[in-house]
Amino acid sequence: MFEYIAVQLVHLTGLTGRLASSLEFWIYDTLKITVILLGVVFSVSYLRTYLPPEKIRDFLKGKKALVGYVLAAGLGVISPFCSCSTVPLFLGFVGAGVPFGMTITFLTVSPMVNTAAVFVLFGTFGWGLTLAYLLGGLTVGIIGGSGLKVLGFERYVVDFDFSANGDEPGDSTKSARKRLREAYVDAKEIVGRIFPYVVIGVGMGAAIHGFLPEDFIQNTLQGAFAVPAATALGIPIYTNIMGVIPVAESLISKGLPVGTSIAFMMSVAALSVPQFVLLKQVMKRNLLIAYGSIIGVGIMVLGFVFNLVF
Amino acid sequence: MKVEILGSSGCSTCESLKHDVERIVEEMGKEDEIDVVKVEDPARFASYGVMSTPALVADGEVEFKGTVPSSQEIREVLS
Repeated sequence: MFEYIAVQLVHLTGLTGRLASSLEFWIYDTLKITVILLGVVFSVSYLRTYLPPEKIRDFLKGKKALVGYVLAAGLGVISPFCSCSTVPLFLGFVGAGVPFGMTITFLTVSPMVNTAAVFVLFGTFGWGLTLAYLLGGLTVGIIGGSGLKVLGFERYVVDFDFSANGDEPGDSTKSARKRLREAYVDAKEIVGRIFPYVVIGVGMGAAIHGFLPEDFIQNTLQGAFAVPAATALGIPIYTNIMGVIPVAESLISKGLPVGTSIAFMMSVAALSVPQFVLLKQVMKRNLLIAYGSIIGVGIMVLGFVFNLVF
Repeated sequence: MKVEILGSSGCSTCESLKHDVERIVEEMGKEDEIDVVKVEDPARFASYGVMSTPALVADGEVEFKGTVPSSQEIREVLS
């Protein structure tokens, strides 16, 4: 349906050739991503009113290692917290007795694997890559969290006091109307924040789609250094993963290997300078470096593995 | 009364909650009685037991967290 709208609109402009094909890509992808984004963000925001962070914390307290890590990673997928909530969540979890490793797992998976991104990836690339993205992100989070725990990095958490008055999980008997209103406020904020990135990201994707020569990637972005380079390139780029998917879509269609693309997408989402500046408030330098390295290495390993598999 | 709005600097819903509260204080004509401040230090969030922002603390009591309350709800807390 979106394709029909895009084709008709481009037809009206009378454009042909590369420009037409870029414009079509831009309209189609913007429509598709925006519709998925609205639907998924609103649904998840609504469900989230049933799952405040206090409940997640209580789920994770006192869980046995393996179950706890898998649960922490799973909860990270369905909890789309704004990066500005990362620090209070970290303090709240650690302060209230959630094991340190599981907290790190949750905080790693939460920005890296995002529910709306799962749907957009599925709509764009199908099952294989979507599952790879999902399972890959969970794996990096679980290995990262348990790895830092085993290596004893817990002692590098900045000292602070956490009040016990956060123990009550808030108002659990909200009316449906109140939940809908909260979901609406939340979804409006999230979509408003992400939308500019989507438009820019799709614009870049469209430019690549229409104008990047077919052999450019074959000649430049191949070989052993492609995955580390893609990961490093993702660090200074601070955007939402929804803005990166259309760029990756174009690059893959031009021959960029899937693993390299996924490494880039995950690095943009999980390794970003502003995120680390925020985390510096609660993590001492050693922990921060270890956290960044373990995610970076995890992403690169995933990139290499997916390049071999796909 | 001292009203604290808890929210990190990059959080837009936290800013809008602060504006809502200031507007309502003005409408109620209580600028002299109610002092509205923004708190951006996460250690202070933790000391209130707050994990999700924005949150509204009135005289040391956490009234809302993780949500932007409606004008009606804000009024009830302030009056």
